[in-house]
Amino acid sequence: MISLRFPIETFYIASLIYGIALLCYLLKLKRLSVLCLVTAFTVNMISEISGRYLIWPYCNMFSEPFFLPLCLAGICLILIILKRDEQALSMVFMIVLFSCMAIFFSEGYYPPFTLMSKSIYAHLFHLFVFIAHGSLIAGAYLAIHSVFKKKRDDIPYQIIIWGFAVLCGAGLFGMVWSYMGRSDVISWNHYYFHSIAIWFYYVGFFHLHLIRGWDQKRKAWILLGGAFLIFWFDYLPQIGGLHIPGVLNARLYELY
Amino acid sequence: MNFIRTSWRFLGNASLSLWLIYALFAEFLIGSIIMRHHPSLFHALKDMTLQQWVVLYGANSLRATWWFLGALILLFLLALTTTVCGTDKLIATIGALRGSGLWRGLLKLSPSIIHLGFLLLLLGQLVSHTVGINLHGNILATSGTITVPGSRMKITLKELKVDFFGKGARFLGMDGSPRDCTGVLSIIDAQGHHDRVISINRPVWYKGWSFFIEDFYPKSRGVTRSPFINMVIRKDPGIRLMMGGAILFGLGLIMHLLLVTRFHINRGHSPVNVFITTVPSPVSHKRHHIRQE
Repeated sequence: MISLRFPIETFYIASLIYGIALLCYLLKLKRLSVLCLVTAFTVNMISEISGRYLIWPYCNMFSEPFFLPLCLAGICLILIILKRDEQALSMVFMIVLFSCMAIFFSEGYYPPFTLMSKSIYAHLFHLFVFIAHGSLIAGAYLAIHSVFKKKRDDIPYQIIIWGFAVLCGAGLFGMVWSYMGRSDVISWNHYYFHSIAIWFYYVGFFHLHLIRGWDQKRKAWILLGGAFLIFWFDYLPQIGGLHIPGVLNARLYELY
Repeated sequence: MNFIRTSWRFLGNASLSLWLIYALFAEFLIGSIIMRHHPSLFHALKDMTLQQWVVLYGANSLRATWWFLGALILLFLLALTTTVCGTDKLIATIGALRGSGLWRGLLKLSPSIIHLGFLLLLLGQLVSHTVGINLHGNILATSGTITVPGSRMKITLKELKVDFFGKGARFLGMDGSPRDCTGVLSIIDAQGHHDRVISINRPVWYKGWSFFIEDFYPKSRGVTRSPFINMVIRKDPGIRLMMGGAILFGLGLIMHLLLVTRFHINRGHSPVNVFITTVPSPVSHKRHHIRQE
């Protein structure tokens, strides 16, 4: 029988390999770096799937800190397939940073148990939200990266478009889940309203082209603002806010 | 007539829409911070209509609720501008559809479908929270019967089964706690008896009415009191509008993404440029052109 600690322990291994990928990139060993990235992505995927499987049909609702590195690594691999190795590997430091935040700052792998999480829509909602956040953060990073490289690049904006589309999908699944469980599509709490605020922020971004003077350079800063909003309002609460890390104790990752 | 034309032009202005969108962003963001300090004030909205809430809570706690009332006004204005811009765009698009071909025509129409979906979602939310019946606190014990208010329907809870975690459950500290709750509702009306299964996240729908389990008893093993559920009874005319809006919004979005990618893979362009240049320019009385880069 697989232990409940399996997902978190495989996540530690994935994080270590992400770290090795970063080291290889810094030492200009690009092929080795890509190989490590692929391996780490696979191990992270195993961690994620096992984490969901172990508490199925209930949902691991606040596992974004552990999913984000997976999503960012996936985007890196897509960029590598599109022959944009330099851009992809420049993101590895961000993957390592988020992995470390999940390991050292997270309050726990599994959330407090709730019957409400027993819904396919809960799973779909959370998966779509995590993928959307990863895409929007990656897109913002790449947009700023291209500003500093003084290069015009459309790839970040493609990522943002798909990220926003996935975010809309998350919203629709969230509405269905909320309705089925609470008889109301709206959850009258602050989480819902700051998510709506972030959605409107990106809606505004997609209408900026209607106004003169919004070139790629200026839009990149708007995207950075969006990434910051996601980090501050969605990501930080899932690791219990900014706090001094506790002792790295695997028992923290058992269900409570 | 001049007044209508001027108002139409004003509401169709792209800058106005953008200001409204970012004003809503600011309102909701500030509001989410305020909500953290007054959760019960807004939680009450799940039990009552919007107008009841405004009278009982909204108007009496303006320090905490101003942002919500402001957001309602801004949403109304955004719905107006979206309608005006969407209408202008649709007129321009229909005119430009000739000779476009099916796929390019769908691509041009997809933003209008997205905006229509958004409007239906807003309208559905408004109808859902202002009209209809939303009754909480309906305690129904096994073999007990309640009459659905405003109808001749009676509901009986035929059985209720609560599953509990056993000893050594995978979930720490959950031994003996409920892991599932399923019941059978018997709906009695002029057409006879109709049995339906009800569970957490699995409501019952019947002739426009919907029934949800909000809470249940027992929460642990070995209790001898009669099991019961705390049921929500709803008649929500807005839900179909919201479903329609959600479907249209989703379809429009998927259509736009796929068609943009298709066109630009075929032409070797970046999909982003076309996405950006085909999102409508909501300027009244101007024909829409797709700018080629």
